[in-house]
Amino acid sequence: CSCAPPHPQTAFCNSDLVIRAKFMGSPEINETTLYQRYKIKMTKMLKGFKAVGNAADIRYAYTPVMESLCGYAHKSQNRSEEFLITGRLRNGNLHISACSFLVPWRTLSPAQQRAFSKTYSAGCGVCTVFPCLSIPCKLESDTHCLWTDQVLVGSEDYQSRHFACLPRNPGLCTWRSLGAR
Amino acid sequence: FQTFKGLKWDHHNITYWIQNYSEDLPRDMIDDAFARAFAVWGEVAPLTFTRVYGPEADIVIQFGVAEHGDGYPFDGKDGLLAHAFPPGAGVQGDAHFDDDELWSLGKGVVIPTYYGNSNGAPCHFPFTFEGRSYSACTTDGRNDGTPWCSTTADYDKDGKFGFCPSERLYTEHGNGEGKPCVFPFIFEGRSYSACTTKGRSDGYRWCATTANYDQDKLYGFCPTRVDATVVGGNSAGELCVFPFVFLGKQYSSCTSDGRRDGRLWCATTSNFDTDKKWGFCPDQGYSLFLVAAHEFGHALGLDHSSVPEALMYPLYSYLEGFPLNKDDIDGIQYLYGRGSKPDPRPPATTTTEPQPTAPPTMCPTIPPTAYPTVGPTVGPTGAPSPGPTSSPSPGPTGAPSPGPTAPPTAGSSEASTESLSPADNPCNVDVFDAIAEIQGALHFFKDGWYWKFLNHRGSPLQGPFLTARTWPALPATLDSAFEDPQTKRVFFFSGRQMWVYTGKTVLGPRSLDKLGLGPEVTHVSGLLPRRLGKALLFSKGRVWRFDLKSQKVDPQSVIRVDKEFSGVPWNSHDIFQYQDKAYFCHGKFFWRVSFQNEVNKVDHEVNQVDDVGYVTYDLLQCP
Repeated sequence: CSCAPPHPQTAFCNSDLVIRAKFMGSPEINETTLYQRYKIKMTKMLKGFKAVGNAADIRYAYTPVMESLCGYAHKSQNRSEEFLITGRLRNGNLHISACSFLVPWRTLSPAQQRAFSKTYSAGCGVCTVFPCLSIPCKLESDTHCLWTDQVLVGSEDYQSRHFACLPRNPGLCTWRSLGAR
Repeated sequence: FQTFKGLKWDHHNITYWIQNYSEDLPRDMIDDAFARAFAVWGEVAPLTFTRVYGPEADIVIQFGVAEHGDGYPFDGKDGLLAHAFPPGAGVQGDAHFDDDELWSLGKGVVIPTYYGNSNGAPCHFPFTFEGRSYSACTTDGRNDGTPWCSTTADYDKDGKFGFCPSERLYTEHGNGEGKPCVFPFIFEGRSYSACTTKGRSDGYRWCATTANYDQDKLYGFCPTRVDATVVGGNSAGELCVFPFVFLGKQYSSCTSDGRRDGRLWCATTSNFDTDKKWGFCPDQGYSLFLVAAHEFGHALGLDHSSVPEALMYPLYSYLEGFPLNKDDIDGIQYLYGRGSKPDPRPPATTTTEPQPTAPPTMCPTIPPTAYPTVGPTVGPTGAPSPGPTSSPSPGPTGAPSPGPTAPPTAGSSEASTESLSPADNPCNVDVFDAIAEIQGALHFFKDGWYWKFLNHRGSPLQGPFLTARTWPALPATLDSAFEDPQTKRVFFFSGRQMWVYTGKTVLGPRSLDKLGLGPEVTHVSGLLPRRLGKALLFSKGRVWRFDLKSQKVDPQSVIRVDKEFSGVPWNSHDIFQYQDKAYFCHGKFFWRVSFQNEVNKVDHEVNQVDDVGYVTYDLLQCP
């Protein structure tokens, strides 16, 4: 399984569902489909109200058993730790993968937590985070923002953690500091 | 490393079958990428890999999109790139690649060229021809419809070109002996004047190599043109058609019009309004070689590693050289042993980035007559009208033999003949002390020397010159330099000191204290001009307004760099303005920032990073 590096804003925009939830233990494995499901306890929904309704309660997260088939393996045993989960809806079920943006909520900066709750959505469908995977890397459209964390060794995800690609003028998107708002 | 509970192949002579192909790369490049990806593992473990042509292979390689038959659907562009099953019979051991991705060699589309005068060097995108910029092969300047490209950045200057893969030059596979297509040709009674996918269920484009397929049954597959082959949409694998009509308007390049997400697309017929056929235009793409090497690791029995530098770490990252980390090698040798080979070799350097290794004969006073001294052999119109030797209509002997076995010889270091020591060649400098535009030329300072880069044709680079000879008051090491565009005074900074040159007259050194910068400012990393005798002065992630006349900063004006210049590294060094754009350097790279006016706000600019490149290759135009 190989994953494109996910910028959190791209992960937010490309996901059907974005929730905060706790993992309630070991997964149940379906031996015929070789999928497993994690029992989760949703604490807050951040995206997906239209898809599943306001009152929806997501109780399981489905994923392939094998990591090489992009199955998500949950490593933490801590049932009280809250995670940010981004995923897709298939047949009404939340599907996650090894490529999902899925991190402990507390590891996000306050600015990023705010962004997941509010800021990122302003860029969805308008602006594109364009990953620079090699150099040179040129802007192809004014609605792109060049994401260069990958080429900057030791950047510590500077752009991921501190910026969102947001509309500025009609047809123009630029990085905006998340701390500035 | 991790394994699948030790699961592995019970034999060491592994077979693989490439079941189908992506249209993103020429087929022999795909074959080569897979062969090289297997060889990575064969290098460090006693395993051999043999290509076979049937489903009995241990490892079946497949390109697919969305649900592709195994119950583990792909997800469109980006996200999941590929997956693989651990060793075993049937689908076990197989590797699948998401064909909604753009597969490349990791550095954008690769187009080998044929004939022309570039020995098969790949196209250089974008390139300039008659002053216009091209990011794909073009038929402009020719009247025979054969697409061509420049193999350097500037055709007008260098005149180097080759023909792009085209059905007008040759076809692949099939039974037509690789002959070019014959247009129009008849197929099932209908006339075709371009390659078609009709009559095939696999979507491959083909043509007849005689005028009548129904009669002669001779055909070949049309070469893929990755620069114009679309990804996703409803026409994946087909070519952009330029110009195309969208909402009544003509487009001759990819556009983001009509989309809210800013992604670039094109139509795959000449009229989108009537045909509605389209796809996304190619971007940098993912390296098929690197992703395949990772997936083959799974197919051999390795699960994901938690070591971020390991190839078996799940996140894609582009790197050059040998991709295996010690953790990967430990993993594969845990399963299959070491074999008889000596210890794994150190990371191999690749040939993609030429590193001039010139003999160390120091003669700094003589300005080197710098590289590309290409005479204007091409007339001003510069149309690529090759002579008879480079005719795109090869005779029977001139069968095109594309492929990665003929590595591109682009960018050979002509400068290395100039007998400069590495220290004398600015192309060997990773990080310059200071860069500034002075008297219309970009100046690159390093260790008491400087070079001048004139944006001329011919020999753009002059130097090295001794800094102390031109500006005697200056120390050997500078932090930044800046020319006031109005008074032409030149400001130099080194540590906590500043010098100001007016012609030959110098003022200074002055302490930064006098400028209003306290001891926490240990150096100045650059200045950008502003209107009305002002400049922006940068130091360590902060920026002040600086009055060039009174030579004082406005202490109230200090802000964090990212408030005004977001998207550049916060700890940039060498910040300067050049040709109306701001450059922020970090390590070997620059971030270029362009300015646009903000709508409805007078005198307020929006800054946008529009290019990230190498200081040496992309700014200094090093070979």
